[in-house]
Amino acid sequence: MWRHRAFMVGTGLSGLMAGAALLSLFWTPHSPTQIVVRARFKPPSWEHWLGTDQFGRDILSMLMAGAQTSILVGLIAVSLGLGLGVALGLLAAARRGWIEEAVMRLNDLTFAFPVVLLAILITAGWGPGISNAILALAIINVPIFARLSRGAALTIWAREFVLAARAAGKGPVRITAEHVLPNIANVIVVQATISFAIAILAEAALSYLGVGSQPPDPSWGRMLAESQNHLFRSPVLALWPGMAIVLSVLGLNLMGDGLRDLLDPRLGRRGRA
Amino acid sequence: MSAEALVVAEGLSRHYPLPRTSLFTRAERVRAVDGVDFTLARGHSLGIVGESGSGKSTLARLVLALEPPSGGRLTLFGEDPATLSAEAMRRLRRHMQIVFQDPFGALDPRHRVARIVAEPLQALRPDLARAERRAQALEVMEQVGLRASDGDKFPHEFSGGQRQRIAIARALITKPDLIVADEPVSALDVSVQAQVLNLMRDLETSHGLTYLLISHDLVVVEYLCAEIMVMYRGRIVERAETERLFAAPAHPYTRLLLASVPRMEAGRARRDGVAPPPAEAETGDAIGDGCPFAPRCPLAEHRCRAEAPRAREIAAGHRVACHLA
Amino acid sequence: MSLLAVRGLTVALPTGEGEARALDGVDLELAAGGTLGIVGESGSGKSMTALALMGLAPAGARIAGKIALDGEDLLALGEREMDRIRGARLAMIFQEPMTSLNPVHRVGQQIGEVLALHRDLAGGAAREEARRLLERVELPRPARLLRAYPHELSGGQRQRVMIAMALAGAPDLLIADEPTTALDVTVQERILTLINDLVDAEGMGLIMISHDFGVIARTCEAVAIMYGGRVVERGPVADVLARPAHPYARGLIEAVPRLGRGRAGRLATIAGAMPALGAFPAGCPFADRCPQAEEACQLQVPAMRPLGPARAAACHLLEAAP
Repeated sequence: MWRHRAFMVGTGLSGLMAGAALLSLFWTPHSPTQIVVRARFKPPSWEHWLGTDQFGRDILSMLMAGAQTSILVGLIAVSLGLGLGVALGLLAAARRGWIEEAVMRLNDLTFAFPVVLLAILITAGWGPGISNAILALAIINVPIFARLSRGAALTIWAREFVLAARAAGKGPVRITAEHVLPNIANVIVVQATISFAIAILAEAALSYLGVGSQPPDPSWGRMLAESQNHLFRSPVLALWPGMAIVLSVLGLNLMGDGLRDLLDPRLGRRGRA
Repeated sequence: MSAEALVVAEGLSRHYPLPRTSLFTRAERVRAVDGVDFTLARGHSLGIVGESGSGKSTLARLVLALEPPSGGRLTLFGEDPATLSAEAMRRLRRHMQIVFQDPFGALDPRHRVARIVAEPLQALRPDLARAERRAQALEVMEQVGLRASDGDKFPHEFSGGQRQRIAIARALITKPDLIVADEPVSALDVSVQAQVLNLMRDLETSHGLTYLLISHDLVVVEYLCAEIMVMYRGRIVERAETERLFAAPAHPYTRLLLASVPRMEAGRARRDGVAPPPAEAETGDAIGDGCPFAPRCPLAEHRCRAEAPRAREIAAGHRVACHLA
Repeated sequence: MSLLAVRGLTVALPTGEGEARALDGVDLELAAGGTLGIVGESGSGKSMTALALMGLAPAGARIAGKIALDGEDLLALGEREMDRIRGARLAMIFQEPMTSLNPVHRVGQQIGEVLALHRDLAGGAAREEARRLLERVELPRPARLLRAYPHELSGGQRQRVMIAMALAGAPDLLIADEPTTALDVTVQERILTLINDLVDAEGMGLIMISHDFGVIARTCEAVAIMYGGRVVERGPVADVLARPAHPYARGLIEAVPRLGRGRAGRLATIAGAMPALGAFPAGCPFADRCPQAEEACQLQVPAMRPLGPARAAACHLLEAAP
């Protein structure tokens, strides 16, 4: 029962974030980029629901537009990492031998680089910007998905129904597509929601360090960074983007947990004594 | 035996490397199947009996060409699978199917039953339309005592016995000549086991099947097979017609197996005239060049430890690999 | 007085809709040093009986009835008092000796724990006693085995270690739940011989739980056949196997293929399958699979009827012995 409720809360929070991002494509209460000098550090009011920042920008509008950035980064980074990682993992599990060894050692190499270091290296080469942050995050996600899907796929390959499929004349590609992938999809989906949450956090961290999205593109991480200079004058400036990050990460994690259960076809199986 | 030979194995072996214990030593090899010769003739179901580690399941996978042999020759339906093209191999696979022990692990939990049963057709009869495959799946499900309406359910909705029927239906759908059954009833309850054994026996007649039945259970093998091979540590130690094997077991290991089956008539007292069987072999003791059973054999002589016995025919169709038989 | 007297033992498990009775009014009787086999298929309640006797029924289960060990009602005891009895007066061995042993501790350490708990032995005395116990279960080179980890032992050796641990508390009653099902048949024969020898030598009572009539016949004098959480027939093993009275017992015994009978004839079967927990008929649990069932069988639960000395069966269609 509790699991179900956690999943609902998670989906609600994630939906709220996605909804805000979608809405901001067409409409925000104010422009998220327009500087209004007269309206600096306004407290919440009917005009500005969450107040304004040091440049007089509307905070709610900036949060909504920032959700766009976060989702864009998460979506692209996770899709790239998942696509490449799962493909490598499945290949390693299906072929074993030196291919598996090569894939896994390559993984170890990538695991050795912290994401922030990697992002800084990349921006040192190609300059700072949102696309390089996405690239760094995608690279980091490849070995995570490769390792996970290889491990899960190996347990499926050891099952007798795979042997039956081989006795039925099916090759490794068909077995991977028809038996292995559907049976490991749930763990991958769960990892995807968690990686998505981590990507949002990491994007915020990179933007905070100045190697992520660049002004004037709105970003939760940079809002946090900029609010730091005005912490004594207006502490709530740090609170809003912080809350947005915490709630969306929490929402995605709860949703991932719930999905794990919902994706099991045996759910609701009756125990037998 | 003049019947057509479905399977001929000559010196068939399968060795696996063990993980190396040290970087500087050679990897040890375990001989899961070690120089096995036999012929399986059509209509003459053969049982392979052995305990864990005897290599009987590896032999099943070799016969189905799911694993390549490391030595010896295998002929399936007159052809050598090692030389066949992928297309020819698929044609060959229509004639042989498999049924496993574990009715839970043998069915993909995410596929519906009709799809599971039709799976061999998907790969082996790509010429058939989807609707035709499904129709055949439902037909064969009824032949094994399932309802056609069960086709849209998932495996977890069935009991162990019904799942084994699903697995048997899947094996039957290509109308095979040979079914390799690896412990098909050992995970089932007694009353369900009887149902499945009867079904297998009926199908043998109605579908013209020949079984290669692998089991640790002599009683099950006796019920279904015309002939029995006893395996011990990768080798065949005795082979005979079923009645003959039970009436006149010649190898000390076969005699030990027969004496160990708990019987309903026995009573608590030890059966008369049966010496306590020797201790189970300690794990990992080397057998070297001698008879694999020598370390446990109550009759073992010096010769048994020095030299592996060759199989000899001691009566018509009764072969034993023992110096003393 | 009997060693164990179970009366009306009922274990109700919570399910999605209300509760289901995994055990329903089970009566068992065992004299000191006696041997009783419990036979049944999966879902019959035989393993639940063992767990309930040990006070190990699943959390949330509602337990009713009486379990008297030497006259003391175990169901009335608190958790701490039950801990004192488990291992000391009641011991249990399980089907899978690999999972019942802790893989990260040496054999000697695991036996030592039991000795410390129930016999207050420690240090050299405990080591000496552990060595003696391993000798008692006929394990070769016991001193070396004490330093081994469970994965270094074969299946048969692990089950012997489990038996040694069960003996450590010098129990009055040994409960064995399918102790040889995971073992090879030649190893099984040796373990059954060992259990028989130990039961006779130590004067322990034995409850052997198995799906295999052969195993029961090899180790027990009396047998209880269970179906749907109830005992449907009980009596001396030889008697019940030769002349089963209850239709389920008859069906089950006839369904077993026997060695040496060859390919002649078909095996008798029982129609249908064991229902899921909570889905048994309201009357006799076997009513909807029974070839002889009448209307009364569907409606009313049959009581145990005595059928002569030490024999009884629960079936409406049987005449009670005068």
